[in-house]
Amino acid sequence: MLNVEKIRLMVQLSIYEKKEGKGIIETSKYFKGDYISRGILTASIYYTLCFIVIGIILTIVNIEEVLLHLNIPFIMASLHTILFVYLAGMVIIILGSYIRCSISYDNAHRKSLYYTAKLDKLLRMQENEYNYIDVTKDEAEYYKETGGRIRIYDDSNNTWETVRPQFHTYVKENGETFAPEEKWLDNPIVNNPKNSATYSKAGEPEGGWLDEDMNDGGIDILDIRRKDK
Amino acid sequence: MIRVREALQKFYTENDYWVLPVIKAITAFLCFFTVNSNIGYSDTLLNPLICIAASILCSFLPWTCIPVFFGMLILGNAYAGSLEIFLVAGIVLLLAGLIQSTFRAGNAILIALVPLFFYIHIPYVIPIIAGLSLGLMSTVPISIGIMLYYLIEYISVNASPAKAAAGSDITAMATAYAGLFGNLFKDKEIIVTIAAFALCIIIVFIISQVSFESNWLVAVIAGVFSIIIVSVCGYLHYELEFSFWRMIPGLLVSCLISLIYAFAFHAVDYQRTERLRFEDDDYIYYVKAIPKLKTIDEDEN
Repeated sequence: MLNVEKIRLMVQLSIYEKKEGKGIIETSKYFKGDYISRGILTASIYYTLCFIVIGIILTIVNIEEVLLHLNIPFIMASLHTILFVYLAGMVIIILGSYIRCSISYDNAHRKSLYYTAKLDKLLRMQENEYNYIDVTKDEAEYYKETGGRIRIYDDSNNTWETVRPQFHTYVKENGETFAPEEKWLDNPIVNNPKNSATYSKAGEPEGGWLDEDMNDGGIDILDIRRKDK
Repeated sequence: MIRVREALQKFYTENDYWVLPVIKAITAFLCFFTVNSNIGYSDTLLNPLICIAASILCSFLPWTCIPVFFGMLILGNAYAGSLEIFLVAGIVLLLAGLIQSTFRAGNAILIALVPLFFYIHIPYVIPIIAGLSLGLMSTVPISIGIMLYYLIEYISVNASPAKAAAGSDITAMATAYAGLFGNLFKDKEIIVTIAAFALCIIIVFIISQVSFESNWLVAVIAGVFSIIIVSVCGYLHYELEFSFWRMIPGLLVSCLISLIYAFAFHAVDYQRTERLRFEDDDYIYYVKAIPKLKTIDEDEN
């Protein structure tokens, strides 16, 4: 059965994955500490190679002076200077890499949480083809406690963000389905599908889901093919 | 003007599938043509078909491939020029790759665009636009681009005499190589240009981030002035040959182009039409998602 809301959500997820997926996948492989260490190590290696190349170039450019002063004190003094410059540059590179990796990890992590919340919504929608959630009475207690919201931890501010899932909620008990009294999961959807004119017992609007205007959100369905099973 | 911008947005959204590859191909061709017209020592690489084929290839590949082909073209022509120049070009390009990788700066296309804009005498457009739209890290690819521009200039001047510099005596060879590298790496003009462009990016970026009316306009003008001030101070400090009046037309045209860019592109979301294929347990979906554009009429309502 085709569900317009589900298709819209899948389109949103697919675009999000296409645009942000690379960063999310890259960071999701590592813990924050490992990701930063990896970034610092890579930058340090490149910096060292850069330093060696620049060192060789400067030696070639000043070859006459080097050959003229080629003695132990000159070599020692040069090594001291080179080491000092190398270490100072390394400290700057490490600090820069730490800040950049930390910021990019936090950004990607936040995006991945948003993506996960959307996926979670899709999965719930997939579990329920009729665009509403069936929960048991025990589960209903949990949803009542959380207000029916998905909570996401925002580690930069050390707070919890709440995402409201847009599902119509029905509680199952002894094989029967009924709407909860307070409708705490229906927010922000206002109209109850049971009262809707297009609602049928199967949960599908008359004429099928695809009868709805698909272009309102800029989504143009080119083709839908049933999978061969 | 706003209508023009909207029309441009609409045109891009509807035709992005051919507009983007065409822009890529034209950019790549101009970059490759710049190299060939200035240091076209290799007869094979000078063949326009090679240039066109590489441009067409770049139109299908990511933007990053343009500077890669650009570097390869420089290397090929340097090799045809002389082995010593090839060595210098190889080391400069290796250094460029390492610096870009160290900072993971992104926007690598700027490396190829900077020499192109230098040859069309409007290089100041690049740091202003980069400061407005690309952020502070764009300083790295722009500095590398400046280095490559001076490398091309260096190759065009030094390719023939370098052959004579090669000798059998090791001291003479060392001195010859010191001269070869010294000509490029002791050039103070590179330092002045990099400093001017870097400061311009920083100033434009900071001003464009401050929230006030027409901040982008102020940012563009401040960027132009920063380039003038740093260039004049730098050239005077190093006692380099400098003509302020020769710089003015380039600066004015750059300023004008930057203002047009800021108006047409800055803070405007040129979203692409996405063509997607995804599936669930039962179906495979082929979907085209067209971004919804806001018009003035909608805003007025």
